[in-house]
Amino acid sequence: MTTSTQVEAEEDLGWTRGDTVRTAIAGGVAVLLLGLAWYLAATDGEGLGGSNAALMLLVGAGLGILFERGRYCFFCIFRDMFEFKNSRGVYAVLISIVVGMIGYAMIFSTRLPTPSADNTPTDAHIAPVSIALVIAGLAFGLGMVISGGCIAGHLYRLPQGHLRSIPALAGVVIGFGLGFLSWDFMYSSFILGAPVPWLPAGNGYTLAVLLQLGVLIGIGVWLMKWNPPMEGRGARAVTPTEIRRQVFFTRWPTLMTGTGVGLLAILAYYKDAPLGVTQQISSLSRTGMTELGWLDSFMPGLDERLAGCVAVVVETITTNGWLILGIVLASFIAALCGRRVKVEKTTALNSSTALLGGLLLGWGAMIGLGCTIGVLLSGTHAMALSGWVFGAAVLASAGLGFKLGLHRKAAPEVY
Amino acid sequence: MSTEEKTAEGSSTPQKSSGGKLAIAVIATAALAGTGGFVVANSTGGDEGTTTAASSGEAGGESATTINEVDIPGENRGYEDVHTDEPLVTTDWLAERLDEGDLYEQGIVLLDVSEDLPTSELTPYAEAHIPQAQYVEWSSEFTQPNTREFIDADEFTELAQSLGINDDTTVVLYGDNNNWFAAYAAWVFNLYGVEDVKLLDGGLHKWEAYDERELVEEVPSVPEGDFEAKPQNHDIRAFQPEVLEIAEENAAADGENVGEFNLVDIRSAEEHNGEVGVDPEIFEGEGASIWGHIPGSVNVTWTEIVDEETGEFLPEEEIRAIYEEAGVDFDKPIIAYCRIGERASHTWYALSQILGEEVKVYDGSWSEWGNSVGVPVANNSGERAGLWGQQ
Repeated sequence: MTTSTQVEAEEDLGWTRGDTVRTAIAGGVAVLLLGLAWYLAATDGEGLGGSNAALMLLVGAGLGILFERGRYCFFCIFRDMFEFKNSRGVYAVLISIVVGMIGYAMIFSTRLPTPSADNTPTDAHIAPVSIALVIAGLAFGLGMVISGGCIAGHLYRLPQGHLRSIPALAGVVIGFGLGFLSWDFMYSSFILGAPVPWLPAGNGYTLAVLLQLGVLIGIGVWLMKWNPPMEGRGARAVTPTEIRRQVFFTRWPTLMTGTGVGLLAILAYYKDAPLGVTQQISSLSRTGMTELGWLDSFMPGLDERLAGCVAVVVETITTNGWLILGIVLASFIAALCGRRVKVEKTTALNSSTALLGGLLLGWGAMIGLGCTIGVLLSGTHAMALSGWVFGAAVLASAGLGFKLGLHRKAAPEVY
Repeated sequence: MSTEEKTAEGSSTPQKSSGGKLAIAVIATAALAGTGGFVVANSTGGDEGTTTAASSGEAGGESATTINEVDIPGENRGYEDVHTDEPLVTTDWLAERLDEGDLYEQGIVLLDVSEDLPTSELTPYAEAHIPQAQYVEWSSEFTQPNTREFIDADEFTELAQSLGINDDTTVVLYGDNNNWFAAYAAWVFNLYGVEDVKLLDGGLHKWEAYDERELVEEVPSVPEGDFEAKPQNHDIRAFQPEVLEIAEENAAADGENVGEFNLVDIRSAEEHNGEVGVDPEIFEGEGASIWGHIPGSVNVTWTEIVDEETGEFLPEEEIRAIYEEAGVDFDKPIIAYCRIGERASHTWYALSQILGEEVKVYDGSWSEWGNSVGVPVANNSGERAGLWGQQ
């Protein structure tokens, strides 16, 4: 992946017939995306997710572009770090947390001037911290390594031609199903009665923001040792070619990607719901299973006050579904324009490992009430300890997975 | 970091500077860890997950807390299994089902929950009742002996199974006195997770007095059901500590309804205003030493939302308009109270089940509030009222 996204500076990009075709398709998809947003705005999302549908579709599109162009992919970022000792991608995550949490703190402070433990914002992703969350994070991290991406990663890498994302996402749907089946046990054994630490509670927003800022800066400083030297760049003129290269071909700077993701997270929470990519997918699993009679229509704990990124009510499509569609379509557009749609080789082995990894991702995301976006990102934004704990568990098991080379064993043709 | 060291000359300076950096790093880490520990330790309430009935009230400084920490097991299950699509059935509907034959085979369990006051003009169950109805005695069968609390989940499971209730059963309740106690039962059934609970609109009055339909003496026998009670759903039950929080906020705002919940007092206007107490001749045991109402509560007597003649609930929009006019802010959830919780259940039924709002019953009601030491009370009578107000 690292090499394919970078084009040598000296090379002239040129314009091939392929570019014409790709740009035409990208234009068509863009028209479709914007037309859909226009339709949703004009009908107020009636029956199709409500008045925020158009906005969330566009937020998803923004994320899709940022993910694709900034390579905001937890799999890629962790792999660079553990395998190539390159921590640069981590800074995009750190910055997106910084930006998002400040925005969240502002929104919280207007809604809840005095934060306290029995008065947590119910719509933010603040989850109980229990051993179940750790187990979920460990499973998720392992699934990420084996399947070649986290759930959001699969969503944006699928349009790049990462075909393993198809069995992986199928695995996610099934994994959610398994998660629902094991929910009762996990809930009653571990989650019920677990504390729900919300850092601003009893401390105020300032202290919570400062603490998180301190931790993030600490991580950032520590990771500087794994920052590869910047290659000198020759003098360049601002020409159309150079702009095209910067926009569509070279990876966007981490600072820009991280800030963009953080701002979109604030916008999404302010207008609709915290970012997350699993709610609509888990609804699919849950609706199917409920209709087949494999699940009770009421799930203790889950349908109570646990806020997270997992299906509660099952409708046709929610704003979360539009967000996902936006990610996929916009990523496709961005990838097409940058010549990055390349069908990856799939084999029986790497498809089945993707499926297996997807199962772990889905199960982990169900028990953890979300994924790297819904729990790690939106959780730390909301200054919930659960975001940190889940993140640490994912990091630990992904690190181990990469050290053991599980991603190569799972897909020898790709890595 | 490394460039500085390289450019520095002499052998002692770099050591000093790296020693200084190490010291700063250690202090920064320690400060961060210390703050982190402090913040995390502060950030949880003691009782997350399962809710308990008690909180510490408003203890601060040297003051004492008067509310005991009583644990009522339960959970916050939301409103999904509480709200019912069609919460009311008509007497015509019931008559059709009875014509079709055995209710149990149609997945219906019909229950009579009545107050059976001797003054009632309606026939008591023991003499005659709607065909195929079973009887549940609200006072003895729903509550624990000599304690003010409902039967626990296991006992409720036993009761429900003995009535032939399965997981998918439609429970239809009716009773005398405009379904007061039937609504109370509906609330208790929802408290323990029975999902499909409906009221016969108008109750026994509509069936017997208004429609003049048949009553029978025969008592049905049903097979044992398999329903398993869930823990109490504390999203539909309010306890004194949370009401106290709201009351204190409202009291601080001169009785304005500023708290997080609307409070709806469904007692008579005289009781609400604090002009009268409870007549001990009729309502022995429901008396209160203090008269008045919880600060910030609005008064909508339960009779206002039923049709006088038929006893049926008014149309949904009319009910909503009545509460809106009384000052209920439907953007906030609602807590309803009365004297012991049974008429508040009637109002709960209208607001929660018919209007689909998020509503709790404060079943401690005035018989708890009006006898509690220190809680804020509003009285509109302009006089000292209650036990310490009379000559």
